[in-house]
Amino acid sequence: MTEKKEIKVRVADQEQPPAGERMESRAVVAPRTDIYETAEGVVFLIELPGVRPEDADLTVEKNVLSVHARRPFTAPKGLNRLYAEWRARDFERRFTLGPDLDTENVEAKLQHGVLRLVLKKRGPEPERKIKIEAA
Amino acid sequence: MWEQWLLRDSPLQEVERLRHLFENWLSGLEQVTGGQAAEFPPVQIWGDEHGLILIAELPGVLPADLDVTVHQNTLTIRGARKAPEDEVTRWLRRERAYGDFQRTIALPFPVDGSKVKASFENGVLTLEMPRPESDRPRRITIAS
Repeated sequence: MTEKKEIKVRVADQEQPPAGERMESRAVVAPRTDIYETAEGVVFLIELPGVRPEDADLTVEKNVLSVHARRPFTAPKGLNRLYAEWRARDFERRFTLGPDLDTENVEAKLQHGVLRLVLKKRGPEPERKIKIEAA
Repeated sequence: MWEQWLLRDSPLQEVERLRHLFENWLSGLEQVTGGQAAEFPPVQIWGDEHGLILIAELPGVLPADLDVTVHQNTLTIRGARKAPEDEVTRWLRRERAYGDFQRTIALPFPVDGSKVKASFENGVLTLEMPRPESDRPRRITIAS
């Protein structure tokens, strides 16, 4: 009987980008994200409105997945901003992944302002025979 | 020379005129939303007395599922954001909302529906709504 493997996906605390790296004083926020499990693995849906693929950075280091995106925004020329329910901002968020996910082959697609990531579950590791040297 | 300077609009007068035009409308708008972006989609409104530009964020909404109608001084943004089609075995984090939405915004003045320009890219909707020519404030030259 196989044990049910638990896939741990934790969201690490938001870290501030180092001072001096930002050119303008722009807010950096954590993008709204949905994460769910399917039979094959884990899917992330990360909201990045206004962001194009060239504006986003996706990296995996050890078991931490990082998303950083710069939302391009040019104010309409010659007009006054009368009302705002959202502000131009950059996005950043980190996710700590459990060991069960394959981080070598991450599927990433950015469309309609949503970044969709798919990480497949690692299959069981094949048994490795270790050679014993004669002394 | 001195009189000419007096007759010309100072930048402050321009701001005052605009503020006056939008003041009642803005306080009405803020009353409805309670100052919080509880409505979907969240919007930004830019403009002057010649027209308005509205920018709304709708990430994950497909162009086919979005409907925009303008009628005189009312704007309605209607549509749906479909839930993922994958077979979800377990939700690990749920921060986004799915389903139908509709938002009606009263504009400070009627706009020319036939001249509205709309674009929807990367989940951002931009609407350019010019005011009808006949409605725009016109400077009247006084014959001497």
